[in-house]
Amino acid sequence: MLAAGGAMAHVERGHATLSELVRQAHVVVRARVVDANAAVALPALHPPTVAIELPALRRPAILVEVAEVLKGDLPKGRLHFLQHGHGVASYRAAEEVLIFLTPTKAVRELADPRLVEAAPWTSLQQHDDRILLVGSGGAATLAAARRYVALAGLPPDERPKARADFTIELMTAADERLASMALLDLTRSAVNEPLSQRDRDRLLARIDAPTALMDFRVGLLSELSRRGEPATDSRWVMVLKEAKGADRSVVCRAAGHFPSQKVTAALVEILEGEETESARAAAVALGGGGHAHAVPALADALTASDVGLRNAAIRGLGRIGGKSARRVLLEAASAHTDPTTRRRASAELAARFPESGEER
Amino acid sequence: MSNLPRSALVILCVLAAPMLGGLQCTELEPGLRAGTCIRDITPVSPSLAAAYQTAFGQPGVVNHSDPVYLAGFGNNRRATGYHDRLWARGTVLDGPGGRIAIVALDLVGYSNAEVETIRGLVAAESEVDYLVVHSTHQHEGPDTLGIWGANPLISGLDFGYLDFVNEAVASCVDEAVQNLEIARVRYATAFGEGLSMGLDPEDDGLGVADTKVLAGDSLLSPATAGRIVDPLLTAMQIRKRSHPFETMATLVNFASHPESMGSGNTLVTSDFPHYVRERIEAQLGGMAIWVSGDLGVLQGPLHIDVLDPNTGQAAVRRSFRFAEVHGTQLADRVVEKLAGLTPLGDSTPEISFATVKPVAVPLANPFFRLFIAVGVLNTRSTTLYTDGLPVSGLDHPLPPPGDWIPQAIGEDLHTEVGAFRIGEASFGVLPTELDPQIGNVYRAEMQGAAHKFLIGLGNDEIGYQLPSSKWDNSCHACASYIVADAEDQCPFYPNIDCNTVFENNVGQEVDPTISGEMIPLLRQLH
Repeated sequence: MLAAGGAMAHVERGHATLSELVRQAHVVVRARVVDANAAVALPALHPPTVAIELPALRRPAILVEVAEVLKGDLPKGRLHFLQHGHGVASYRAAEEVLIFLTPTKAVRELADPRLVEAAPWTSLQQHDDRILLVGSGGAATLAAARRYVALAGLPPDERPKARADFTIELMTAADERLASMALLDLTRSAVNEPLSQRDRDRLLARIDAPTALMDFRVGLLSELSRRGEPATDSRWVMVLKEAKGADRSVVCRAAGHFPSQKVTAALVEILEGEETESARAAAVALGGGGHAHAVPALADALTASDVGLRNAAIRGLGRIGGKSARRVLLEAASAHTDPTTRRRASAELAARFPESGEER
Repeated sequence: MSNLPRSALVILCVLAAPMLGGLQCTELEPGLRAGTCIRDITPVSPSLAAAYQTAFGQPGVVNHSDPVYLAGFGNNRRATGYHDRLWARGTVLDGPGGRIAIVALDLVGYSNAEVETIRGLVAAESEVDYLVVHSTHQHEGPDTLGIWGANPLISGLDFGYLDFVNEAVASCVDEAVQNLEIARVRYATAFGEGLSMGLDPEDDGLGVADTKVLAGDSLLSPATAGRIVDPLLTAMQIRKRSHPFETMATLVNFASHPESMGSGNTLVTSDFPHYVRERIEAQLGGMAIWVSGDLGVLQGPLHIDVLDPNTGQAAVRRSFRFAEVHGTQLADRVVEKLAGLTPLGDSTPEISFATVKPVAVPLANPFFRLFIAVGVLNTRSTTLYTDGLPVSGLDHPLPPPGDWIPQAIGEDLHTEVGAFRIGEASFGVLPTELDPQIGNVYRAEMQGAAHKFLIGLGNDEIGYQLPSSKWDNSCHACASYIVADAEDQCPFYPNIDCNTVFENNVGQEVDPTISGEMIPLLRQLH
């Protein structure tokens, strides 16, 4: 099977972080959008394909007024830049933004000499990479971009430590977007040294802060867990108990990847609780590996009145694998009172335990 | 349907028919029989149920938890409402040689593990020999793969929704089998020339643009500055065998990402295939099925312009009007071609099929091994295999400076490939986003077939399939340095190409492995 197959879809790993954009760009500018629907006109290359009078060949572009060049060499003033790729950032006139540029001639798809001449620069920013400079968050982002530019100028042996320190600093800052991008940097391993006690305490405090976004807390807890930092299992339990509604399902799914006696017990408690959605999420999460002790609880869930929970329990058992889970599924496939559940259990056995087909 | 084997039923029919008088015996008549089915698989979460009712005039049954993360572009794009519904649209074709079911899902992709579950759910009495579950790869529907959640560390996948889809597809197939009736099939192959306006340098006027030119493409396709697309628009029309020969289904195969709405849209939609299907159904009747073809690498409508007949101007990109104009023009091209056919169609097409499963594809990408290792990917179980056996666990095999980075062990991931023929048409079923250059190779192997279909994202989604000759290994080779923030120390620096087709790719062996199984399959069938 290939559940990981999704990761091979043609998507980026997620948002580009501020750090990555600064590193990848030849030129970084602060600019104000003049026309978000501009275009550069080009001489025709090949005859039009429809038999009507068409406008000139053109390429959509963004027109901005450059106010500051943070990185690279570019005169201030008006600039047309191109956008390219699988989804691009959307702009509106008058917005103040950070733009990360690469030479158009370096983009294979746009390396047409006519385009290169008309618009020498192309933005690296994709889909949701627009960085607006508004309010205190905008000021913090601009300051962070300047700091990343400065970091790039450090000697190679000093750079990782300086970048790591700044990553931790941003993760504990007030701005949620900067903190989230720094978390991605941490996950993508801009920081590869063991955390200091001070940094660890600062990050754990962020997880403990109920005012922080749950997505951020869960992401940070996942990262610290996979790094083997101590005291994460008790925090999973804390966050599992604290989360409400849809957030709790999100926490369940994430917690399932980090099994421990405490986490398994907390997920089982949710599985046996009153909240249907959370119980379903817990049932699947318990199949995430390392929760073999949850087989009896999942077996009990097969008697639940909610068919969604029964299906989730079947999926959890299939994911756990092993003899005891298979035995429960065989029993459900042959003897469950609900025919739909029998079919689903049977299908799970066929998909997950193909060797058991003859016994069924 | 009777529990008797199909072969027994046909023999019984042939023997008994003279004695049955005027009794209907179509189920047992030899030759092609076809059935169709459709299921609404629109994700409905508690918070979106009211929006569903507003959009479609009927209450939505909740089948998804909140939020519904939209797949295909960036993380944390949450659905806010609906434009049109997502569907599972299927047809079952039964004839001499086998019974084949094809179900197209308006989804970004569907993993082989779920397809196997669906196969287990389809009733044994349906006696389907080969089930193809295809995803259109649309980018305006729910995350069914798990990588578009709130952030890259949090899955956007709802397994309860997968259970819902699995049940829907299985019941759809069973229903189509129960509704089998005698039918004919005919085919048309059109060409995309003129479907777009060619105003943009990336737009060759073929109705689709290649937004990812690779090293070597400019040598292969100098006239288009290296852009390579598949301009073929193939169609299979299934019609009733009796007068007035109503259309039962029309399957359309074209190689373009259904993503014309772009990353700014938050309304659930099947994108331009919605309008293709609406138009075809209005013009031809029956049910229309959209099947995406060899749409890799990044073939799509994002950088084309289409002529809006209402304004005489290019339709505004990334708008529903663009999707409507584009979809309608694609459909009209198909309708026009089918209308020009004189034969009624083939009532006794020979059906044949062949599959290989598992296909073990070596996983070379260190980034994926890292993501699997750290649980960023919402893996359903241990995902990797060595010598055919599942393997789980971690190691640290990368050289310095990345020797501290965890990697999932196990050599291969498992997937499947398939191919089938129905009369004068041939179909390749690939688990990938296939480069059209490779698509051409497969079509060349379909010798004797008059119409050649490529079903991309068939029974799995493992990402890009590039010709290995165009592979640039610098990104994978430098992974240890990149992850350790020291790419400038990598010997390939500064020539490290980590664009998405290399970074998000199983590895250089995808094409040799898939083609190594696919080409013999095609030769076996032709």
